[in-house]
Amino acid sequence: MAVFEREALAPSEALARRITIWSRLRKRPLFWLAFSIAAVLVLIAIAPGAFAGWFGHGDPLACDLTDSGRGPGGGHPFGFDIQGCDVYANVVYGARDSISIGLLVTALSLVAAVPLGCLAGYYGRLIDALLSRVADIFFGFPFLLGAVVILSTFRLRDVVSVSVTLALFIWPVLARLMRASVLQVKQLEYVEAARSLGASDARIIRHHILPNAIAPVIVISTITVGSVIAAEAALTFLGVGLQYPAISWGLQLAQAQTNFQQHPHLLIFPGLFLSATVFSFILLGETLQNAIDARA
Amino acid sequence: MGSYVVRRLLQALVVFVGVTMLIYGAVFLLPGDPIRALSPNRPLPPNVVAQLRHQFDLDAPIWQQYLNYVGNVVRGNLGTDFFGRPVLGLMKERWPVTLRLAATAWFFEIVLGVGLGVWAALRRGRVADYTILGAGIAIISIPAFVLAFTAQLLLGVQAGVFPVAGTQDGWPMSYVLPGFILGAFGLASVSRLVRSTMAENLQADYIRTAHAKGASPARIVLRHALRNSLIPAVTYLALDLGTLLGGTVIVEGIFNLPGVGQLLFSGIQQQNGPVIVGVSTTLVLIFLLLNLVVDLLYAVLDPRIRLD
Amino acid sequence: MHKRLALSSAALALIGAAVLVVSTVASASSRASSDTFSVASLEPNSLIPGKSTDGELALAALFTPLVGMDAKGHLRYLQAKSVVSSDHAKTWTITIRKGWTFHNGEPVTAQSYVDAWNYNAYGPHAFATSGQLSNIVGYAALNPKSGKPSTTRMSGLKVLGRYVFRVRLSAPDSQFPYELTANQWGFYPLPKSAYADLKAYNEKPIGDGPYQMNGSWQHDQSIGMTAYPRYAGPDKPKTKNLVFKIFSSVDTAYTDVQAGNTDMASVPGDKLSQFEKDFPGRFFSRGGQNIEYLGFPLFAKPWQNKKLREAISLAIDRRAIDKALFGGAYQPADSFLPATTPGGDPHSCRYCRFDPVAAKRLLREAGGFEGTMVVNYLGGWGIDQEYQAIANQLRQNLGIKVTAQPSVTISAYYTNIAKKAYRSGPIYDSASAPYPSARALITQNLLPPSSFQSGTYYANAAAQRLVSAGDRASTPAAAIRAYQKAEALIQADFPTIPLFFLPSPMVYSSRISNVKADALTNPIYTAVTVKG
Repeated sequence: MAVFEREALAPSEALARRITIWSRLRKRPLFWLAFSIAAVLVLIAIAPGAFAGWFGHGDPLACDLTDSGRGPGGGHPFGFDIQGCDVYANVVYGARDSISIGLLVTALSLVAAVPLGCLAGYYGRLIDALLSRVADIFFGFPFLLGAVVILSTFRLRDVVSVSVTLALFIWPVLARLMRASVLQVKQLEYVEAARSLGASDARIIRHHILPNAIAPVIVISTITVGSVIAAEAALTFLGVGLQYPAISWGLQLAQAQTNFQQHPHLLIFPGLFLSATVFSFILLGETLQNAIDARA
Repeated sequence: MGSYVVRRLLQALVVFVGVTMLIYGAVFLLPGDPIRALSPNRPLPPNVVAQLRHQFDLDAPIWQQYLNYVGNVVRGNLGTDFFGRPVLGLMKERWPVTLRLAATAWFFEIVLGVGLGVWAALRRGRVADYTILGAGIAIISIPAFVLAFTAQLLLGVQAGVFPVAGTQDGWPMSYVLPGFILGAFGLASVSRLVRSTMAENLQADYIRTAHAKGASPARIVLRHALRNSLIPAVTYLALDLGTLLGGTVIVEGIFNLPGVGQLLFSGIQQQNGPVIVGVSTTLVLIFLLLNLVVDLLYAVLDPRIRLD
Repeated sequence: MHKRLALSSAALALIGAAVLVVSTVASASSRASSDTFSVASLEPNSLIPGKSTDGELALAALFTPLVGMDAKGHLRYLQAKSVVSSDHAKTWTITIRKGWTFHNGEPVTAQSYVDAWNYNAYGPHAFATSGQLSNIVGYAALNPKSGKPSTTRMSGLKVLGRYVFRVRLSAPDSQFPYELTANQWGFYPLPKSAYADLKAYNEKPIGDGPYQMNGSWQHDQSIGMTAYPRYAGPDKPKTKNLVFKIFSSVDTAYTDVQAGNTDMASVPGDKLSQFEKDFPGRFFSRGGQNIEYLGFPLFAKPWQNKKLREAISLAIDRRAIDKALFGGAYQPADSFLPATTPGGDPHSCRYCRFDPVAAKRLLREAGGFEGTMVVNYLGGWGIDQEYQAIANQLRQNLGIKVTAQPSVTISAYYTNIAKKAYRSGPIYDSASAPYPSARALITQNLLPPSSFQSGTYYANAAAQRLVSAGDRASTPAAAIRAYQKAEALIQADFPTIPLFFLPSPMVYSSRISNVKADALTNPIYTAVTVKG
């Protein structure tokens, strides 16, 4: 009887949970706002060519120095950059590398952080110590400077090498959070109850710990997507991020800051896109978290 | 507790050796000849280059260099940069600047971050909450260097409220603006973290119970909700101090504060082993200590977590 | 529970307090006064003249060279009274002026020079300027291939009297007096006290120039100087104190001058298009002999094809790049040597104009171009925009695939050149003449062994012979003729594209006036006056 109940109850409980989360999310305009901004930006990142030509000048490399620094005008809603290239086309093409890095780094970090953080938090003792020390080795070095050291050793700095480097330094942060969160959830009554009912560790982790412990990790992960995009810009500013001839918001901002007094549009448009991206990802996480947290 | 600390210190030692070896290895993976790059505009004659390579031990095999370096460190000699300035002296000169900068940033994180987070949680779903959320996102979404240059131009050059650059005005004036920008990201993160855990806790059963028992709202917020919301924030803050100390390079560069960030960055650019290893070793030490502190704080804050 | 919270708060507070305590070394506040002006500088790697590679701003205040140059390009003796050659420019006799003293009161004598030159040239010291002395007889003995030198002195240097010494050279050198000018720090004198403790000397260098150190070098903060009352040179300082404020970023230095906190700074590359607006009427050019080239890896295909090289040069619109990126502050190069160089030959470059039609024709005649051309340049040097613009122009004007690729680091760039790894396109190269002579740029950049460092690996025996002929010439005019012939031969081969002459402007605050640079690129500090 007890066995039957356990098998039958848990999945439906999780399913019901998911359904209620979705029904709550569905009713939130903020969620849809964030979701649509993020979706559009991701679409742009996937197929920039389809968006770049809207105003008739879709080639980011078609540049004429006589247009250098000119402000917005007919056919060029965002104006021209210092090279005389269409800023709109460049911002659109810049979405690809910038967003790719943000998502790739976060995904790579989560793949490492969630299972490791769970194991460390749940089992404690030796596994915890071991995993924590491994994380410490990566964590033992300040992110920005660690990235500078590692990136300096690459012969080529492209999306993948920059992403892997950033992920190396970000996963320990998420793993620690995951661990801390698991430590708290582990003590809750229903986990104890499940354990006393004889559920396996894997089952407890999957059905009770993970769904309840992941909220803070998701919140920070959404921030991570944005902060990674900003971090790419920072690394580029230091001269160790993406390199020309790549097109990224980081490169555009790093360049724009040198003469933004004269050409504010060079800072504003890539900056707006970057901020919109960050904004949408954070808001997405925020609404998601609210939906998860809200007790009936 | 005592044996736990000893065990953690031993573990930290292992990590420490591992990290420093990794760093030393990484220095030698850096491509290119550091001596040739010393003077891009005025190429050094080949005999001088050869002599300098010998002076800085660069003509020895890597393992030999590492052993020589470790041997020197044991004798209390941390080596010199390529211009003969001792690394120890450089660090003594630059750590105070970075410490002041990071402490200023940390101060903003603690006071403003926690304060705004609590306020937002109490005003959940109202204007203040959304304003704090929006401002936090705005700050996060602007890369630090853009923020720094804009603030420098507006508040330094045009308004003249803060010094543009340098440490001539001492602490706090020279450090307020760079400190705020350095801490801005963490500030936003802390406030969001406090807000989300606090908002969650405010709805918890024990708060209702406290309400039902007739406890005063201030007491509920401070004694019950805030305390239970502090664990993630304390974790974040303690670890973030390390991030702040290690993340000063851009702000130091833009505001011309001669700290370890710039020292390490120029060390990396010049591929100077002793400088990189020396500075990053101290940083790693701080990180490890902070990690230990965090774990101990856990125990103090949450008695349910046993240390052994 | 309450206790635990208090405890943890206390722990946090303790960490915070500890951090603050460790960092409470109060720094003194200094404010500008009417008898002080400040100049922004990067942290020099050394203030020992023979050892430094980047101390020009401070060294120009601390030292006065043997020889200077006037605005017309004529030599002007400063610390030297005369520099006279015999034996067809193989032996030079230098007589210095009496009455000069170092800042510690020690007289400047012939021995001050001979000792310093020997010290600079001594191999084991590995001084950066050692190469400047390599033509002096006996230099080789101080720099043996292996082992310790058996002597500490060059046999070619001889003190003839308290104020006279003789220099014998290994090869004739008609340009020797030009080499004794301000930016050749290997030829500066040192006081006796320097050798006793060179480290201490570096902290508080003692020179023979218009300004002396006012306290020690505050590393990464400032280098304070005050006028030297017994300065024997012609131009006495008009303002008493001079402070070099040290910045880690040239952009920040520029901004600090904008805010009026610092009085003088170099214009960083990315501000060239705006400095005239930011500082209306408050800027000056340091002039000088800096030139930027785009060299070809002549050891690799298809770059041996001269028509291809010429086509690339014709396809670059230097004027448009200058206008858009540098606000017209650069000068499009129209010869291989700047006109300001004695012996420079303006308008001599036939392929330096912009002519996309001729460029396309030459490209066709060269047989077209297959694949992607990669323009390699120095990364992290602030020249990305310029090289992206060049790549854009080549792509559009020649109709071929072109990208511009920065090196990962500065040192990687030189390593790639040394390994001949740059072979798929032209390579960034910049040169500045360390002394004002056409010979300097020809031998220090275009011909071997320097061409191995610029990546072209170009060699031309006939041009080399003409340079040697110029070195042996008995009159300056004859020397210049020979160098110009050598330059013409190199131009005909077109191994590298002259791009721009770089005049390196500086800006200054409204507090100071009468700010300009001498013919050797150094600001004339002694003339600067401070307003009320």
